[in-house]
Amino acid sequence: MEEFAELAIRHAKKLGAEYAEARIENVSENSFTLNNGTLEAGAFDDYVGLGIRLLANGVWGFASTNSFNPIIIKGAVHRAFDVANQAKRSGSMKISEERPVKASHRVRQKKNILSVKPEEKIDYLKHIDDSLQKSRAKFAGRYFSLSDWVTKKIYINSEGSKITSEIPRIFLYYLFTVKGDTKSQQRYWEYAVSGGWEFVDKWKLHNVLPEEAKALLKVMRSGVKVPSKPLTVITGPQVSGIIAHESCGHPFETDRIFGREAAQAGESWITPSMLGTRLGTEAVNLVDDPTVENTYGFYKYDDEGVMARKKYLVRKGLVNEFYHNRETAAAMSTKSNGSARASDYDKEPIVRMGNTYFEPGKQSEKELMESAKLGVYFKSFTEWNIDDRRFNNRYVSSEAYLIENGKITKPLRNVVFELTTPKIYSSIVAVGKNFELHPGTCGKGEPMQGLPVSMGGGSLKLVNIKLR
Amino acid sequence: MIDESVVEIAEYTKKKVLQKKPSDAIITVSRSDASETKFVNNEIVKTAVKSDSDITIFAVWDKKIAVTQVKEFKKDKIDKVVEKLHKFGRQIMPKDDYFGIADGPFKYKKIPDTFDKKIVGLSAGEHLDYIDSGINAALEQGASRASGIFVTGHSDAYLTSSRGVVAQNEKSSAYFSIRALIDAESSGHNTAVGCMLKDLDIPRTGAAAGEIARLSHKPIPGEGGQYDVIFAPLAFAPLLSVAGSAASIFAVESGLSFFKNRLGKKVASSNVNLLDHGPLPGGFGSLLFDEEGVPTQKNTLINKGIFKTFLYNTSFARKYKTKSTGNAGLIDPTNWHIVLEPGKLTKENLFSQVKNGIYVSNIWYTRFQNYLAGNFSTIPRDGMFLIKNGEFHKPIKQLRIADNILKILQNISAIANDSRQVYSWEIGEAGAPVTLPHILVKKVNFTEPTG
Repeated sequence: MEEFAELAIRHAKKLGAEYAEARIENVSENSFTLNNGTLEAGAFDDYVGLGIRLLANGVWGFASTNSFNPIIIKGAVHRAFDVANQAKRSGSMKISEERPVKASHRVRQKKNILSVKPEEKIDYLKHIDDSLQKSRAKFAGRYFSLSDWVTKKIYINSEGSKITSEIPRIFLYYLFTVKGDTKSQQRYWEYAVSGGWEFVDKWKLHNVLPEEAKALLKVMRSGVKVPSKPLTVITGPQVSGIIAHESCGHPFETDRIFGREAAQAGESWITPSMLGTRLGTEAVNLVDDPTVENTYGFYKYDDEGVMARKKYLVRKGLVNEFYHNRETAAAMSTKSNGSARASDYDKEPIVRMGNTYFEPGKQSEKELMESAKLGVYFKSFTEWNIDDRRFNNRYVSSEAYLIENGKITKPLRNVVFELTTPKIYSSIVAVGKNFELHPGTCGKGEPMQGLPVSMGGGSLKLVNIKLR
Repeated sequence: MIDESVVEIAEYTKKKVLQKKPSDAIITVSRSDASETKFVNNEIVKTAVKSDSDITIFAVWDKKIAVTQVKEFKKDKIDKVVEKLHKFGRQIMPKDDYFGIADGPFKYKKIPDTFDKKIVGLSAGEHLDYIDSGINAALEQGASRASGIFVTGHSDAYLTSSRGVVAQNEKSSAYFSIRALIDAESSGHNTAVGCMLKDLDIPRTGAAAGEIARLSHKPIPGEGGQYDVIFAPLAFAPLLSVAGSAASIFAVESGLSFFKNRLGKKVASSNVNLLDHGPLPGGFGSLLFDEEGVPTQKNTLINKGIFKTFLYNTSFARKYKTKSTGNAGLIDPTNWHIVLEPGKLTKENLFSQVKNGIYVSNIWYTRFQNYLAGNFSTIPRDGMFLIKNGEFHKPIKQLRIADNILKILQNISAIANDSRQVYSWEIGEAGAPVTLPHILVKKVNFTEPTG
């Protein structure tokens, strides 16, 4: 296969491209959907495709095909070069200088996901669905989807980089609806990993799911409205994670800062001149680290061949570093920090997150709560959104509890946390040591690129917060 | 037209699958080509040419449903995949409530205005000229910069099943999206979409985005509360696309539908007639046949506010003792192109009905708290305006719509006559395009940040 990538690059250079890179991706995937205890279908795919990107006339030209015929590949490269070259409104795009890399890596699996029989995967879904029903809640729906896949990539560029990788991933999504006589509550969440089938048991979903159903029942039956006066909020790591992802991760993507996603995922309220300025309190340390092994957002080299690394986006409350690909790095006269990712062979790499989290502090979650006279433990969330400049946040609780004199007293129903980003970060007084990472599928780009990421951290303690 | 090699590979695949004696099998060969150009701050930043092809195989053994795709049109590869599919199919669990696929053959009536040779033959220069005309129109309206994407494409499909269905179709498409900005807080967005180039007025689309940007200059923070709202087509389309998805019987079974238990009941204002119109002439989402090869049809989802039907494939239809609505989805029924029937009022008539209200030009990031109950929130994006005595009063910002979709459908008080088809980033690849006009909704709940 490698020869086709090399052919594409040779042809791009021959045509006059300033730079070229090619990715061949081979994906082997299985997926299963269990709906109310019934397997709707089982599916598998095994495909390979080639994406090539070249720089000509200050414009990216991209071509993709799943035909490995030299004539078709050369034709695709030719068309990509031709269209880019004809753009009258072209810019003067440059890419940062990076050291060519030759590397090979793979994520090891104790129990290879492609060797696990379909029966075992379906039995697992049946098992956790049965466990959910043991909660004795009444359900208006129980939906599970399980996917596992292995992505093998060959990346080559015209500067001499050559990287091969093999990453297996498992992703499980569930949605269940607990119903009462007139009300209902829903819970949807995801579990995922970059690794082998051995990780599935570690999720302990046979315990987690019935506990969640019981909690939703309590919220539905006896949840009360949150007090309207300002109070202390302790977030669970799931909530910390979505805050980190939405209101720090996204606005720190430099392509958004420069307006490249204006018509799609939006821009950013953060500007380049805010580097070094204060975003939040000294307690806030926000990190993105794609290299954390076995996380869903794991990768070692990005899709421009740059080694991924841990980044402090915010350090002691100060804006410290943005996400860069080679294009945005050149625009800010710096180096790429390995944040270019593409969801598939037929998509261009753009600036993306990996694993974004609040760095854990020293106190336990319990200790964070103890000093709160009146507060809310905002354990998990359901509805959420944020405006496209990442300023106006909303998270609605799935599970939340009132804290009185440092202790959890009663469940709260559908608590609304609706705050601006500066207000959130200036209200954080401590981060707990209870570190968790949770998976997500981050959407960006057009055509849409859904990418595996993780988000999390320790619990956050925010003071003087008004909830609804 | 579909060439012989596609027919040959599809029929070869079917022959190999049928040798494994499934109770049902459907083979679909699809091919697509697309050109995408992304522009940012008035400059072209990326051009892309893509081609893709695949064979989808759906096969059932003893109610065990197995699906796969092959991207290599080689007989030895197909042989291997069919062997694997058969083995895989034996290893999975039966779907006890599976009731088969459609019995063919069917007759198909060509859908007008869904294939345009001009799109297939569009040169790179012409493609770029269209973008230029959109950007220029936005800038002439006062925008300082414009960003967006122009995608043109062409696809064909050949379907053959074990139940006597043979169907083929060819389609073209074009999608132009432009967001015009004066500064970070003053912007307008518009899209143009269709199957025929003549249906896309790109300069007008760019101008409309530029005009909203100009009018939205220097917005002030809005105040939460209940307002009468005029939604632009771009703003309301994603909500109706969600309503179309909620009409799938699969969504009902999995707890994802706010239409559950509402068949024959009032779910919207009496002036609402909502369709899923698969064979809509010129429809961006129109399809000649569904994934079983059943001809698509015009389905009335809501008639005068009453919910009339869920969307079914053959198996679900047999389970619920009704007929397929031509909406397969092999696994879950899907919707093709949602249409809100226009009213008789002009857009100006709609404005004249609003003394104190809000105009929402676009929305973004719609998420549900509870799909079954229909509680959700979404964020107005781009120009949002206070309306006083039927006219734009002030541009506003930083508000969120937090409400219930059924309540919103019930509160649609007037529908204009300026229908157009909408597709957008917010609708996304999984959602259906929507044809709709401006609409007026009473008492929509807005919230603002508490700090």
